[in-house]
Amino acid sequence: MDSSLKQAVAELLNVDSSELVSGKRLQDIEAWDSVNVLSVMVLLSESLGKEIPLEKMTSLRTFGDIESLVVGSAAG
Amino acid sequence: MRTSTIRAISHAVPAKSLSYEELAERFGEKQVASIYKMSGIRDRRVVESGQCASDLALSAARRLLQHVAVDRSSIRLLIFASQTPDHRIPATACRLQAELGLPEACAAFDINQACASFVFGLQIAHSMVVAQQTECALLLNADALTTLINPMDRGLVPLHGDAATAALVVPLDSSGGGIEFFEMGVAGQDYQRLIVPAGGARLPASPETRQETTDESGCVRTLEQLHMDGPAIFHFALYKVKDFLRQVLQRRGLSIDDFDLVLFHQANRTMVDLLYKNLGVPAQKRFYYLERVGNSSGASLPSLLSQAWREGVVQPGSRTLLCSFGGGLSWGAFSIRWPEGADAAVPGPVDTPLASAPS
Repeated sequence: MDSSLKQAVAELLNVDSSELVSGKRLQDIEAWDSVNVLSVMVLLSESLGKEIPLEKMTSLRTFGDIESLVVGSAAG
Repeated sequence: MRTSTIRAISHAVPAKSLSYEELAERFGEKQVASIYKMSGIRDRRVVESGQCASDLALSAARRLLQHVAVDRSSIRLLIFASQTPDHRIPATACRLQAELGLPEACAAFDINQACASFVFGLQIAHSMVVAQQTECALLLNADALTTLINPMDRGLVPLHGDAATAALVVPLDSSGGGIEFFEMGVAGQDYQRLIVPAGGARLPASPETRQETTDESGCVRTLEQLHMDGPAIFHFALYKVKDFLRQVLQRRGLSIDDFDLVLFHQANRTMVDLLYKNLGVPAQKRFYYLERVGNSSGASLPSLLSQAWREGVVQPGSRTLLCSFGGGLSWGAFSIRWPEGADAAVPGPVDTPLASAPS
């Protein structure tokens, strides 16, 4: 994932970007709530310039899932 | 060609305010700050115990009829569009017809179509006016969704307020402006995304449906209260509504440049801003009214229009595109060119104290 996008996600979730490793469980991040799910959806959508499917947004469990989403979307 | 126009519109909100500070005390500063950052809603107006959506509608309608020179006997259609009627039977519009002194020949009925109800109701009023079934139509949009939201629902309480509007729809030759088109849609397969599951015929109210539960995000509610799938609704607004509006404009050979003002359902600021941005609506064509009153569901878009009219943003000869969307899922848009010599805004305070409720 692009480092500036990762930094933006970190700021949104109020954590240091070094904490955002693939295995990091999103539910362990205090700021990961329903509002921030939406915020991340908006951020990724804006950054990638394309729609993020709802099923993908609501099935995010780890930071690695976010990385896969970005890589998958970029490839698609 | 015969069309119709909105000759006048007024709105009413409860006098009682639920402030940012009060919510911070109830849910914690962090939660409220997080939602405020996303929604842009700082204060909201909420009904008091004993105050109904119809009381707000009556206040808005009385003020409109007091200030606009219209013969009440010419109003042969009254629509009350609401998700919070007075009773399950009869239609609230029936009592309002009598309270407003409208003739018995005035057809009065309710419709229930969530946040998009202004567009749906206006389409009905417009059609009956154009078909000469009535000379004038009175469309009331009123919702008091806060009565359906658990006071400890930390996701929904910060977003919602209550309000009502009254719009007078009259005929007009299209050479002088007026309503240019309507477009609407429904994705019925998603009806459960925004729902009060119990209390109707499908799942009658019972002691079980009144049991409170707390979901994984800490929101408290019963089956008789409002449930919203936030991510799904947001996703719907962000993509489906945007695509809908793009298609509407394309089909009709229009662009945002053709409009002087673009008004969206006031769900939350981030959502509205993204729609504005993605459709290329410049800042001078945007207007907001959610920060002080919250999301008032079906009354949200017409309240926004009423407030824009009061602030002089709606000018004779100008053209406005309006769009609302929400539960159902449903959405709709219409375009209107304001006729020259349009009525002045309906004056008077929009705040409606409990004391003004009818007995």
